[in-house]
Amino acid sequence: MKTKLHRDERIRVIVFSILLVVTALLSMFPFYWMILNSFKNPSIIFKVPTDFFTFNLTWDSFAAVFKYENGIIWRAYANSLFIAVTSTIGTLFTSSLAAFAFAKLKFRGNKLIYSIFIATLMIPGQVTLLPLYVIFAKIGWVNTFLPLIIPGCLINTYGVFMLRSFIVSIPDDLIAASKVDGCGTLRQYFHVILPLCKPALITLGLFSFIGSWNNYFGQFIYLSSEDLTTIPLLIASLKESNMTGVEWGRVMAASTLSVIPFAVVYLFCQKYFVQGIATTGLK
Amino acid sequence: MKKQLSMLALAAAALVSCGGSGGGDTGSGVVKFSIMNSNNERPGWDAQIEKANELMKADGIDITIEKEVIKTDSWDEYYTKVAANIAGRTGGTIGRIAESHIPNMVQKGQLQDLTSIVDDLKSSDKYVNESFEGVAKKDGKYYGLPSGTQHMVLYYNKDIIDSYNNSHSDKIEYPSGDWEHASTFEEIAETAKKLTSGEGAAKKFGLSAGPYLSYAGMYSKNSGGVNIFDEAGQPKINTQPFYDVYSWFDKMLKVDKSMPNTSDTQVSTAINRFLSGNIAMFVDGIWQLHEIVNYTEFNVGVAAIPVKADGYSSYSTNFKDCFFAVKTSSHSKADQTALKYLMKAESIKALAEKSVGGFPICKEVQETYLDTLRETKIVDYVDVISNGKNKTVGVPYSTYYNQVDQRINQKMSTWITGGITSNEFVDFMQETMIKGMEGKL
Amino acid sequence: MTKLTRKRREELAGWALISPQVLGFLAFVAFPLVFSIILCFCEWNYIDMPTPVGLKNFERCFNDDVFWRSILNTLIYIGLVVPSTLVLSLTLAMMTNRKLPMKKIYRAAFFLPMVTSTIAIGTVWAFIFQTNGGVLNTILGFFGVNALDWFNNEVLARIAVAIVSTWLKVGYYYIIFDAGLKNIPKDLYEAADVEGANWWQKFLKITLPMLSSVTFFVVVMLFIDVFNMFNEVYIMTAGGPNYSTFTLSMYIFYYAFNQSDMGRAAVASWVLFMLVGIITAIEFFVKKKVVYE
Repeated sequence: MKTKLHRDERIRVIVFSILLVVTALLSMFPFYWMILNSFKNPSIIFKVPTDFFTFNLTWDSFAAVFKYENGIIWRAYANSLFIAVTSTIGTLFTSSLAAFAFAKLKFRGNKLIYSIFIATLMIPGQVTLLPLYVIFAKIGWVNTFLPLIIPGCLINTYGVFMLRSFIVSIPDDLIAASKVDGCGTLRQYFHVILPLCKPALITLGLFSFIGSWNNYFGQFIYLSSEDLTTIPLLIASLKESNMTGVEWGRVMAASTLSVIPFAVVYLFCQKYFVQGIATTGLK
Repeated sequence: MKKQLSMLALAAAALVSCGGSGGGDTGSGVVKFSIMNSNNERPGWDAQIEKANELMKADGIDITIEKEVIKTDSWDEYYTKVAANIAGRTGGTIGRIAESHIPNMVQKGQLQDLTSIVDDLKSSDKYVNESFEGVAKKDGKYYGLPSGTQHMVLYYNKDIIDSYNNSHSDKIEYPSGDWEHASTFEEIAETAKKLTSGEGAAKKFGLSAGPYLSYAGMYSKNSGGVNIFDEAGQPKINTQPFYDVYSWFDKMLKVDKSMPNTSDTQVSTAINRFLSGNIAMFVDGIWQLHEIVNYTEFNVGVAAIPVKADGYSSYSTNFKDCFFAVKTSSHSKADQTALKYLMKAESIKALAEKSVGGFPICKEVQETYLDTLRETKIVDYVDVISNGKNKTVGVPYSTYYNQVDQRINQKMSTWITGGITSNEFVDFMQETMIKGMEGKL
Repeated sequence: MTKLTRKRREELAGWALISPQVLGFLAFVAFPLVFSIILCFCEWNYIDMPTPVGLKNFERCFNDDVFWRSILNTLIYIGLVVPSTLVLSLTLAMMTNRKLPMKKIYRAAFFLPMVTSTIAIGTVWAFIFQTNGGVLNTILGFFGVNALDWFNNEVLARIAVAIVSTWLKVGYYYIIFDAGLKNIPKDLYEAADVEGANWWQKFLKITLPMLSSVTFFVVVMLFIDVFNMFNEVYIMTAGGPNYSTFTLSMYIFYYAFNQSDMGRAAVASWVLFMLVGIITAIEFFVKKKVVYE
């Protein structure tokens, strides 16, 4: 009986491994294709029959991206990074504060306000885009980074929701213990909650970083000056009305450059990441 | 931690450096000019702006035009940004936009009244006065200044035709450049069929011509019909000339397969395929001249738009993209002065010298434009291009036109893939146009 | 310190901690939302005050075929993307829920799509789906399938978009299911093995019930995700052909920004909001009947 089960499991491991390898390869294929085309000689991008492998690789497309508009890509990187980092830090701070309060503190309106928050998860972003634009224009924030940073810092319902789910799962005893030690609420937050939330914070951080980095429409609407250009705007401006192989090569190269930071960050934080997301659905 | 700190430092540096130069606040002497991000046209617009600035400086006027590049290659997205700028009272207060967006902007009251500028220009007798008329005029007032007029021609790859003739006994003639005796639909279809070869992505097509609403008027006129509307202002698309035109397209798209359909040109566009020698004949605007003379390695010919049969004159659709100034500007005087200087003969000349912007509307500059073309490989066809502007039809843009256009474009694939016949497609165009007129879209 | 003051202090602390988010909520959600309700009944040129037009915006929306079509499409996407993502992520999670080599690599592979820019990767996908010379058609060609006209055929275009959308989402839900499966006590399965239950019985009697609350969460989030689907469509098909991939969020975007018709866009966005609200309410209702807690 036991050996049969054992044998079954071994067969399963083999079959599943094959299926998983195939799925993983399929899932990775668009990245492979993007990277391949960014290294291909732009003149053969449209070549038929399609080459699935090319040994004749060149840096031309990357060189073109780095040379574009006197190396504006560095400025774009710095700007994108600045927006993403500041809004991520802000988001993590305010949403973890609120999540802690919703999860562990008793105050009037807790349940009600939390449900209202959750309901806003359902609001399509397009509904608020233009009214918000008008507000920001009125206070002179258009063509600055502020509209791309401040709202992210001050409202992130998904973040509150995710962190709350995580904090709820922290045993009350731990918090009660710190209360006995005479910790005030803020100290509980800094000394007990924040350290325990590390995986969830890293996860939310990466999500909000990605969201901010990839927010093409927001950046398109709010930023005008050349100095304020960002990576998505740069990619868009690399496309021109007549997309030749050259332009495709450049766009692929720039897209590759835009994805690399995340790929690296993800691979390093994978462990926390999984813990962070995992609790979201459980409570 | 170290990493985070250095990130922060980098970020702070970015903030500080942009704080100095990036503010959205325009000083009284600076007029911002919105411009689209198309790199091959930019030298032209740059030259025009520079010239206007020079002239203003010489006249002791303290205004500088600064361009503000909107990073998109689609007029729709460009308009999105312009509208956002209007709502936010930021960004460029003047700019250049496709004719198709003007009626909506006028109707919504988003534009400054430029009638006094137009009146001055008209009375100077230096400009082609008719070019001011059109969609930028409403209730006797003018809200836009044409940045040039552009029309449609038929480009062809002479090398493809020559090599066909070398290897076949049935010779192909070059399409006709005579606007009174243009090649007929049938001749062009026949030529296109012969010049089509290959399969898949390597396929070489005989002809590319967009069966779009904005070009339909010219083909209809070339078949003896009206330009979408009759004299009473009623849409007359469901008439024989339109049926003829669309059954011509139908045959090439579906039977001969000599014309690329929308999926053939999705990634590699028609102009791109023409430039790389994969399309033999190509109907498009003279805004493509710049690309065609600079980026082709083959010999190019230019011909008139085909007609139904000999005896019909050939018309060409014309487009007048406009300079505009927005209503929400805080310095409308400066805007209008800037526009005036952009419209000066010298400024327009600077643009024409880069062969960008189409036919100059300033008479004395028209020769400059043609001269620049005479220095290129299409020297033999400059007259064909120039004569094309004598019989043009404008696109009847209106506040509902863009919606009608979008709905027709969406339906196009249903026709091309065989879901409906070309006649049914034409009927659909008529219905949609009526719905649009009645405000039912 | 008396019990009462401690309570009061906690009350104050609670409010203090949530105040930044509440402030953000009021400024960046509540206010624009109220503004957009007003806009439903107005015409606005972005310059002057909005002028009231009664129910005109509603009439124009409700009499518009494309509006209904975009609602239908949104529902079709729900029908395509929600089950495919659900089944795929659960299957992958169940396959990896054992001792397996290279587990981390699989996880990274499934998750990477989520961390990329849709704008960039959408372009790559359009490239892959290209009719002539696209990779997908080239591969299908090896199996003797004629070149499929992905973006000119209404059914295929929807499928193409659904594939990309699923591809983008699977990784996230995979990780949630993976964690859910880990939380199921192993002895339940061992007991079932002793009783000689087969794989399907175990799945029905143990896995599904134990996963029900996770699944519920996944379904709610997926619905919201798909209702708001925009980027992948905008980049790949622009809503075509014949509005077959045009979603309600694209309708909103088109009228708000392309036609400067905020009134109509506001009506459409409220319809979208209501739809999401109703469906979420139904989901919660069903949850009470089905979910095992």
